[in-house]
Amino acid sequence: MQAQTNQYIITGIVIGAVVFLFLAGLVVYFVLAYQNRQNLNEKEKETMQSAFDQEILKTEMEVKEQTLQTIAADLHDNIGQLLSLTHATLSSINLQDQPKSEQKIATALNFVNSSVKDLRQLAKLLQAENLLQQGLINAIEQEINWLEKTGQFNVQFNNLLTIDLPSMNNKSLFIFRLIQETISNIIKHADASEVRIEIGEINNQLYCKIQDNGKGFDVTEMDHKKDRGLGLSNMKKRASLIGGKLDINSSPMMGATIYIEVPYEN
Amino acid sequence: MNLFIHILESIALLSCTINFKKLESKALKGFLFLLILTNIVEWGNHYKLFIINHSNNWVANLRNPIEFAFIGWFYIQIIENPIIKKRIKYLSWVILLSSVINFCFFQGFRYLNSYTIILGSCICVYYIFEYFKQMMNTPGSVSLFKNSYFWISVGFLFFYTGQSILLSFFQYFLSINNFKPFLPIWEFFITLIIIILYSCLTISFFCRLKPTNTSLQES
Repeated sequence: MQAQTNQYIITGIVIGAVVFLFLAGLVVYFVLAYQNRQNLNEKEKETMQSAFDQEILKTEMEVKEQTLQTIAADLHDNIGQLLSLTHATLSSINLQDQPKSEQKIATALNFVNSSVKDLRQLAKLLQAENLLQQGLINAIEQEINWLEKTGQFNVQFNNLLTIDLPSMNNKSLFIFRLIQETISNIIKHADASEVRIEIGEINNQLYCKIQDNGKGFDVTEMDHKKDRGLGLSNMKKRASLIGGKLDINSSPMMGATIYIEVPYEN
Repeated sequence: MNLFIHILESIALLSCTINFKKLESKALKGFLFLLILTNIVEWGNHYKLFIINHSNNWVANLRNPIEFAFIGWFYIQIIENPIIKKRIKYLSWVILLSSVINFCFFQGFRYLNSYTIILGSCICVYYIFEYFKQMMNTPGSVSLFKNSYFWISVGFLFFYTGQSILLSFFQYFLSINNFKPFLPIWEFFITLIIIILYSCLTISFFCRLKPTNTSLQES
């Protein structure tokens, strides 16, 4: 009887110990697995952050490059022309013909004044890094300003924002670059005469709609094209990087509409 | 030893009361109710306040279904999957119903309703595993050791697994009328799991931090 009792006690202790060891092991395993998972998560987040930072740098570079291209084009097309005209006007002055000379000097002065005005605007653009610091709307207006200056487009800009745009840091940069890229595509490929840009907000979502009346394109076909298709897919990727989306609606001869939507918090 | 356990229970209640305002969730605040109930029952039993017909099991028989219902509610609050939440809700009703049936028709008023406790404990272990599964799938940025729910779940895991096994043995030895040699081991392990439970609960009220998920888009 005593032996049986002892056996009961030993069995009880063994079972109890095994259960406790099992539970302790289970908790330790869970902690280790969790930590491991957390480390992997951290690494993944770091990789994503690094990719995001690289994308920001790339976008900043692209904005600067685009700005420099605009400046180069403006120097060549506007200021260069104005200075050539000034040079030609001043060269043609005959000092003996005083009334005509005065008229030519006045014309040359007008050209110089226009050049100075354009140069001031260029100087503003040269501070491209500050462009977005003055706000996304200001940057978009600058972009539209240059688009209008090409003289090829009738540009309509509707700012429907009823609130002050909160600071969106990198998001502003991405949105601006997307708009810049869209405008650049319109100039290069659309053969459009009218461009309509609308910006507003619905339910904490900032949206921007860019419409043109150009020749349009087949969106599905464009997705498979390497050069321009890649540009559009990159634009979509960038929008998704900031938690937004970019939709393209177009068909041949029907113009195109690009719709960008990005969340923001007040 | 019993006094030591009651002191541990009181420490857990004290830590919950002290940190009550700082506790971040409704789920954690709910523990104040459970711990008050536990302390009343345990100290009442200690001073033999609830003895009717030489037995105070009726208090435990009433308290246990409340405890299981609370644990079901607690896991409903912290588990995010709506299907699991629904399942917990159904299981909580199953425990309550079986408690009533057992109390009324089987083990009754005088004897400890061990079948209900075994069933409830097994179901609680299931809740804990569901919560651990959720944690594994959504690791937060806060360390596991600073997560109150982790400590609570660890305490519950030891307590309810131990309780279901110990009560099963208790029933077995009772059925063969040979519980006496098993009693010291039984008391040792039951004390151990209670110590683990209330230590974990006390730690959890000092952690207070909930895991938060961060996303790249917030940067």
